[in-house]
Amino acid sequence: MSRIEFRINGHHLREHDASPATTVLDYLRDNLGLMGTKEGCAEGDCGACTVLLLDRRRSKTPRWLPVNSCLLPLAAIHGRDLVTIEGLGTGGAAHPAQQAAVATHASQCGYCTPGVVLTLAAAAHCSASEFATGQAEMLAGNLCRCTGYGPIRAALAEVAASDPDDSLKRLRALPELTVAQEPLEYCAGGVHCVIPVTWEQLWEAIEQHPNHSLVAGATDWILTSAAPFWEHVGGGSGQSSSPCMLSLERLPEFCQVRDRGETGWWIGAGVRVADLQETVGADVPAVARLLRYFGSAQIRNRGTIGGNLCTASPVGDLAPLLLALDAKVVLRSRRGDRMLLLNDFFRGYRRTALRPGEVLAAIELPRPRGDTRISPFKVCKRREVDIATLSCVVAVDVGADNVMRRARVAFGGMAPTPLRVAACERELEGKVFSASAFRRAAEATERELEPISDVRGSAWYRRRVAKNLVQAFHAEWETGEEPAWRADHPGTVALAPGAQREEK
Amino acid sequence: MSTPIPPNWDTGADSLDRIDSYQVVGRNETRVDALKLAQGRGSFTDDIDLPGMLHLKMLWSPHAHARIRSIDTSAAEAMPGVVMVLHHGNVSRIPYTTAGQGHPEPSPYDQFIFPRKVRFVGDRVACVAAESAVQAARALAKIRVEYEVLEPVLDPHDALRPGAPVIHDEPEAFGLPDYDKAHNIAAAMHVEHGDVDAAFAEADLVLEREYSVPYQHHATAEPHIAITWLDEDQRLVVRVATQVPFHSRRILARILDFPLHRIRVVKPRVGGGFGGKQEILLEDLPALVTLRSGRPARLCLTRAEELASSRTRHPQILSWKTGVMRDGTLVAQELRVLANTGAYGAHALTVQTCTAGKTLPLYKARAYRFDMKTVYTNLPVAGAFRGYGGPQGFVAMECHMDEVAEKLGLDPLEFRRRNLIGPGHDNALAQALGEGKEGPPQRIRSCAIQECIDRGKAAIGWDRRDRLRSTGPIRRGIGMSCLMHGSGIPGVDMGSAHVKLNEDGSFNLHVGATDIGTGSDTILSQIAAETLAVPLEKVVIYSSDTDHTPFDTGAYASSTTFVSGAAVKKACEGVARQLREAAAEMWRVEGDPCTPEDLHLERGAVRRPDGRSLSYGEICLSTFYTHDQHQIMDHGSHMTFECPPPFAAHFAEVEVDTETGAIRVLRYVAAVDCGVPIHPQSCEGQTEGGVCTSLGYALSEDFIFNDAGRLLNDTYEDYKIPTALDVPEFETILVRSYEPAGPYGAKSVSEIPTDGPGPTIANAVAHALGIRFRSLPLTPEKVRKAWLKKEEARQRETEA
Repeated sequence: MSRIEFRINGHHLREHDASPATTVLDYLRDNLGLMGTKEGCAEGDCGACTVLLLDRRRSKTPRWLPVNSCLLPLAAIHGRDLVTIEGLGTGGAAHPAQQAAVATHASQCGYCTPGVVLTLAAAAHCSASEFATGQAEMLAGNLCRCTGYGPIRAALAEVAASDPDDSLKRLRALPELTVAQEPLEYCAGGVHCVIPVTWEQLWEAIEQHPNHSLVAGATDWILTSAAPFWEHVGGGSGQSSSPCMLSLERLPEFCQVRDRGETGWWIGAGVRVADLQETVGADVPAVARLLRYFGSAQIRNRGTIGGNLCTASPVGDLAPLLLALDAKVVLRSRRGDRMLLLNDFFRGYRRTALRPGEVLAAIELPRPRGDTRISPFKVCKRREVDIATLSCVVAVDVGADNVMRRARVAFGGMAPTPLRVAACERELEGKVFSASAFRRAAEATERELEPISDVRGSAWYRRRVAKNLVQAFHAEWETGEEPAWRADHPGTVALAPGAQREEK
Repeated sequence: MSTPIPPNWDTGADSLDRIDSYQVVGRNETRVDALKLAQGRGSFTDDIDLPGMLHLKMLWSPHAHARIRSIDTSAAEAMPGVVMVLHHGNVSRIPYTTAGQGHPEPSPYDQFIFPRKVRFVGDRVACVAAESAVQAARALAKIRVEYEVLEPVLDPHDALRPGAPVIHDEPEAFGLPDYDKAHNIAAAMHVEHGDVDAAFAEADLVLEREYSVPYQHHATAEPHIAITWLDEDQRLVVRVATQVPFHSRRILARILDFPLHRIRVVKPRVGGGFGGKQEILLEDLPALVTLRSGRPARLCLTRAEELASSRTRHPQILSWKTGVMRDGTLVAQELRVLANTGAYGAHALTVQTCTAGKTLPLYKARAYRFDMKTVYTNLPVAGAFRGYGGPQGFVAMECHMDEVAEKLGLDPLEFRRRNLIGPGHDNALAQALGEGKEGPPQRIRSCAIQECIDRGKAAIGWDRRDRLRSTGPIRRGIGMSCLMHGSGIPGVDMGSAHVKLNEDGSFNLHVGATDIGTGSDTILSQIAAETLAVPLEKVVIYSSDTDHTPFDTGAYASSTTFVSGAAVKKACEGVARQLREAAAEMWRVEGDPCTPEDLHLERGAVRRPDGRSLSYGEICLSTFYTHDQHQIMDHGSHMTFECPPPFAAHFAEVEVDTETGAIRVLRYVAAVDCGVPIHPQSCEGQTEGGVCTSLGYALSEDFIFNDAGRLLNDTYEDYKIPTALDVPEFETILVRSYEPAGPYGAKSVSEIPTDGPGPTIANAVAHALGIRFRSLPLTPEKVRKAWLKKEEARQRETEA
């Protein structure tokens, strides 16, 4: 049997012919004729193609999560439930989110509207507390060039946490498709797809398909690595062995976070950024603060921690955070596990320590000590949904004597890989928590780093700001109290009110 | 050219009381398309799939400036699924402009379907039509092009350098008298009003400053797209995301050399235009493929193609010079503009004349001078973009006004008040700055700019200005600007409408006007419903189809409500008259005669003074089937020499993080006088949306090129338009006025909001930091750098 099965708007569909690497966006429009889902950028930046994917993984009640269908390979919805704009109303009647959009005048041209409305509909099913703690940020992933967003925000306020008795509620109560628990081997359009449910199946598939690509959330993969799969459609590429998508999402424990108490967390590499926000973020405010600016809600609902680390982007928001918290990576192969400090995982521009046949299985994250002070910083051109010009996370343990025991200063966007700056850390460890120590550390940082100039900022700016961020950390924690970060802060640098530093 | 002087009407202030009697106009009716859009049923160009449709992919120039020596398409043509490859060697060579303006266009005819010389990275080289988009894309790689790479011109100053490479050296290109392609000048203008030098000589203070504004992209949600096919009569149907279906038909007929009467252009739902879809950008290619193959054809740009190869806002360098008396009275203003139109001259003249025309007359002076050159460069092509020269000009003028006020020690707001134009004043430059010819004179009638200032000032809390935080790393500031725009192009724009009655008392309204998300289908329906005294749902609107609707110049120049709305009103007034006549005739036949003049329309019926009535449905049934049989219908066309400006005052409060240079706009207030708002919620939506677009212009949007002229930030990953969480707390204040020249007192509202954020934010940042930025966008890096420079200077002072 070789077919992909899923439910779209409650209809159980079986697909035999479409390539597993086809985007759900193209599939909806070209194969199913569901034209309500729009293509705006085909790179996950505009949200016009937003659809709702049912998440049965984390909470007791399944939740509808907005995701970008342009970044979603068809194989990723095998065994899953999906709702498009066409599935939102009930029997021709408009959904409350649609009614709110009409009442607030939330459409002008209407092209972004289906995506916006689906985001609103998902927000309708948030709890009041979820909404209060930042679900308003859901809208950052839906670009609109017409309205200026005021009416859309008004519509969101109207429907959020209203818990309507709607098609979403009805559809989420359907039992999960049985295929969701079974392994899949599928081949169409010259492209293979394997979804193993045991590690053994994974090792076999890796051996069987030398031309494979390891995929989890696929948000980056579909933009950067899926091209050969497209080339293969219709047999045009002339490659010797046909490509294979190897989806890791169903591996045991791959998508779980285990809270191990004082030791910290064991985080499966397939854990999505949104899950990390809700678990570790709930305990460590600095984590929540940084992840809130990680992509958009749509991206956070699909993008995984493992994927983010394995792309080894020089910028990556997560990497500096995990570096500063002394995270370790668990690398698994048929021969067993080995563990590395994350600091040793990045080996160069977009290169990691992963060996052939090896998979990033998990991350071990130690729990910050009670006396650890952590602040993350992200500097970008636009507050929301932007790749950082540079990012920085500082974490120091400060004893009762006000002396810093352990200091970690990690940067993204300053070198070919995310990295810790030992020279900066040396200026802090063993020193009293003071403006002068951080000034020296900041100067060491500026001396040490040699960033490049690109569209996101010049080398001059990066170095200058990197230096400032080290000092900003001190200003934030000067009183020893956890900084009261403003909810609407630009997401660049938060400074304690009245803090002043000298400029050189 | 002689134009009639508008009669000296009164300012219309007395007419405001009429507004309250309106039944449909002035009310927030549910938009006619709102529900279908919210349900995803709005049918956009790409939302159809035709059997046998061919997919087109473009080969774009990789060079900023190169002559095509040869093109070999044989390998591409041999690829699976490929049906044809179009390039300069197999299409006609007829010079035209893509500008999508009225005939004759005031833009140079400097383009061909395919050029022999490519002029920017992203210029057209060839087009492949294949059975699938993947096959078309694969074939692109097989096209062999030999280029003779030429020296590019990547800076507008370099374009004017003696001996600079000539970008348009083809003999066929031509333009208006000032067109000078040998010197890379796509358009030029020099205008003087009054004795400028004498006025400057008299001034107590003369201040001159230079400002510069960047590229900006429309970033419409829907990219450019066209789908074409032959109907059963072998006529060419063009389904295209356009603002100008009638211009598209006219231009296609000419460049395809195909009879106009055999072309039908249909505008389906359009996912945003903002001027970018005024261009006849791509429909010629699928049309050619359809004509040659007989098959449906589709061309849709990707986001990267959209950013790199469609159209943009003209970057400009503006020099503003002001002569002013010590008491703050302006005596002379001079504006010199060097604009970059990129590789082609679409809107090269008119955008720049609007840069002067929308700005300079806002403040009275004895003398004005405007000098402008728009030059070709080997960079992306500029064109029409919502605001149309205004956003550029207001950055310069309104920053400059703050600078002058500061020099004089005056409150920037009171300084402006003293010099603002007002009701009954003449627009001093209206005639000199026409649309490629002398314009009609303009006298201001409705003008509530002073009230806009009053109410905006109160809303932002202008009086707090001196008490805002001015120490510490986070600084706050408040800035403002005054704005003026236009309503349509006087003497040029024309709209028309056709209305007919149905048996249930409803009406079909057919308009050439083009709703591209602006809400014009709703607004024109409201005007019809008001005139015909029926509820909105009794008006069934159909718009923008060259076969089935009458002509309209299109959705641009803030013209639809003002011009097309007046056409609708005329057509409906004709129908109203016919309804009265038909009712009078019915009563006459019944032996109870009356005169039509004594009858009036109310709630879907023709009524007599004594209260008896005949419903429209009864009248229609009678005129269809019983007596004096005819269709009650009428049409109206409207063109006017009037161009009443809307006015606005914008205010913003910002917070600047001096550590990173990041600017956060905390609050924005836009007080606007757009005459009577036909649909207040739409007017607020237009205002907030326009402001949001220009917040991007002020803060984050720009084109970044490499040394070879290639656009580096050609994705949304790196070209940053504002998100929902970037926009500040926003307040729109609709200040009421009544414009006697507009339908039901309306003026335009769509473009004026884009004029404000650039200068308003820059002025607020100047207030916060004490640093005057004279170029946009205000990126964190730019702000940070300037702050550091200031701090260093301060430190040197302290040390000395």
